[in-house]
Amino acid sequence: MEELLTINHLIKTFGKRRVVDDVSFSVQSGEVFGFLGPNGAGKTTTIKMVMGFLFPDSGDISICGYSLKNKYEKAMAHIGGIVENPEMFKEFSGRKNIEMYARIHGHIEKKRIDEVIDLVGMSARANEKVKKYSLGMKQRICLAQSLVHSPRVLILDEPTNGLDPAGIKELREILKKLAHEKGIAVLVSSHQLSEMQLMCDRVGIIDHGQLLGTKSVHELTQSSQGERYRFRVGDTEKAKSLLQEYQDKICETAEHILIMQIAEEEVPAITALLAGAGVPIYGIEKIEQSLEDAFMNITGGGNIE
Amino acid sequence: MSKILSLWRNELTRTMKRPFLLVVTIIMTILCLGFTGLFKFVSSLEQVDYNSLYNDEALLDDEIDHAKNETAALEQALAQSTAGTTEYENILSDLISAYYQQTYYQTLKDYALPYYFMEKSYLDQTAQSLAAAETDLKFASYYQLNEQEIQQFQNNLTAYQSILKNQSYQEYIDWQKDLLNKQNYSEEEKAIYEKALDYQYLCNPDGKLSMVSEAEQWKNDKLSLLHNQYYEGGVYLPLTESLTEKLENNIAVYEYKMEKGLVQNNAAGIFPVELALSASSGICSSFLLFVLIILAGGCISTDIQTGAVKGLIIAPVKRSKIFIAKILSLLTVAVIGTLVCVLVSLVSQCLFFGYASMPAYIFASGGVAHELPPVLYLVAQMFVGLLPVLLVMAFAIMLSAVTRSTAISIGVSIAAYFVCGSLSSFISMGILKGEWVKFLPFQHMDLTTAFFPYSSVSSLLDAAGFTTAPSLCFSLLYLLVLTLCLGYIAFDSFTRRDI
Repeated sequence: MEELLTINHLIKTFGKRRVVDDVSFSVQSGEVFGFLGPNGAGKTTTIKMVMGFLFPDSGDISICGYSLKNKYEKAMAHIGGIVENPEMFKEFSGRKNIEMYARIHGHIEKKRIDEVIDLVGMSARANEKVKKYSLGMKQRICLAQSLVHSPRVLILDEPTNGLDPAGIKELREILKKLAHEKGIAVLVSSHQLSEMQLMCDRVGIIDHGQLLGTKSVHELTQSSQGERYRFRVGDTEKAKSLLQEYQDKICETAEHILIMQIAEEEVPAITALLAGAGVPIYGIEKIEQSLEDAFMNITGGGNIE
Repeated sequence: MSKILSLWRNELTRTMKRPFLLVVTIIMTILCLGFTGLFKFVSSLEQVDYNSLYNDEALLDDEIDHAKNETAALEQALAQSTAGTTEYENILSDLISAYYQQTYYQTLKDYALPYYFMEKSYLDQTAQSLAAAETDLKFASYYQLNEQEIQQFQNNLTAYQSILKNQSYQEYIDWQKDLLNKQNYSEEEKAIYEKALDYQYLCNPDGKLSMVSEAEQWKNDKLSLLHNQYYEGGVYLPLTESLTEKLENNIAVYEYKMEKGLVQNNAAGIFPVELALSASSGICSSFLLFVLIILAGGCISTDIQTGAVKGLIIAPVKRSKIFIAKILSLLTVAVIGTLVCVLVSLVSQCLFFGYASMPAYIFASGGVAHELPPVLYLVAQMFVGLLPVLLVMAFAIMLSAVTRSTAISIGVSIAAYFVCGSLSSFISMGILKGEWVKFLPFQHMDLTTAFFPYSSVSSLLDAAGFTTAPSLCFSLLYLLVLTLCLGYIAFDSFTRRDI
């Protein structure tokens, strides 16, 4: 798995504030990397430095092996993206905007433009002027523009802003497809944690300019407390009395609910025990820690490691 | 390179799409056509017979009576005064003046000449000469004229009377030539004076003008060459090589103009047709200036303010190339705009006054006259007018990049342009002076007289280096350097600052 985007010890200071404080991470080919953090954490600033808007005070960025400082044009040729809200030339149609952008890259065939417009589902309205587009449509057409030159790295800053649920779902599917099928390194920044949990393979959490760590989503949502199961039962007291040998593994009880910290293998035995004694069982589910919980834990003060 | 071209093409597409360009062009065309039409209307109104307008016999009679009374009163006073005293001398000189006035008005009446002369000025001159001659004859004893002189004045009188009676300009010219013989001119001088008179007649056969300035200038320049000195500002300056060359060129231009019948006949009307053209081209230039300032003032700041700059930064091009492409697109619009201005002025002028009314530019080098055809002249003028505008544009671009505010850039640039205009008139009026003044931009904002020195009757002082106007080379260099400095500031700001 190739590292397509590498960021090393990036620092950016605005006035007296270090907005990005020694951030280092990389995004690999074929993965969707979520860049998470609360508002003002430094996500957009980092992304702007990668896209050439801001100049880092120190540190370096390389894309597909090309240093942004030394080989700017070669590096930028491999990136596509949307920074903050999607902006295009309003007087022109979506298609015309993409054509004008493609012209700068050079060597892009017309059918490629049709292809990307189709990919984002804007074929019907690509010839209308951008000023008539809704926010969701602008997002899509901007996404199409950022893909027209077949970049190896795609960077999206808060892409779910302003999208309806259907749009969000669609975007998620497109991004996953681009990453997993086309091997593009996708960097997405957001604070919509529930969505990120669904979309991303790996996340990096940033707060107050510092990167608190990167981990796969799977690892993060594993409960730090081990696996737990929730049993919904008809008679909690009776169930408790039956589960004497598991007493120390019972974490919580509530009306009709019994939460136990057990291994997956122990579930059938417990189920059989309760059912055998005539305790009604309405449901058994594994409790997963959400990304939100993990995030709150982490940013509440500690590193991931 | 291809990236710059692509960016340039994009920028141009974006600029041309703006509806305000089309609106401004339409308004400008309507204004040009309107003004030229208005000029045409006014100039056609002018075929007014001023003679009938101002030919007020009653007024003339009044003047004569008034003058007669005054003369009578003075004669009486003189009779009562003692000869030889200062008082006598004063009354006498007053009497002579009064008698002259009376004779002059009487002459006008006798020959049925209009009281105010707008046309046939040679007749007015002759009437005055006649009055003077009669006055001299009347007071011959006072002037102590001898027999010969008296005879001379009487001959003159006869000649004047004949000219006034026949109202022939040719006769007047011939008379003037005769007079030359009585002066102590050398052969060459006399030839020059005669030729000048011939030119006066050539350009002005019905004598409507009191003087054809080109013929007069031609004569003065020829005489200067002959005597190897030039009279200006109260002193005689010796001719240097450059002055000589300039004189020869001037002479060539005058001869060319007079012989080709290109001499402007002001008696045709108060609004010569060239004024219509300069009004049109002035309107067009002003509109172009404002359009260019608006485009230049917004070139970087608008993109940053609206966020459209993102699309440019994200593209795989260095910022320097983006900047160059923007500059190129502004220059392209400037050139296209200038050509549109030429077209609009040309159409306005030709529509109302015909192509023949378009002035050509007559210039000379090495003593030989050349003609620049009217259309090329117009194109050249407009492009010369564009050069200082490029400086203002550079200023606006600099502000646009540095302040990132379109409103400030446009506002301050326009204000600066007007301040330039006021300050340059302070300089030309002499309120601001000194060697350092040429390092301010104000004197370099109008290059038309420097590029087209023959467009107006120019002073030889320029060639002699006595005026405060800086040379063309210096102006161009100055504009170039200042433009590049401003451009560099803008370049640096755009390329190295965070967005």
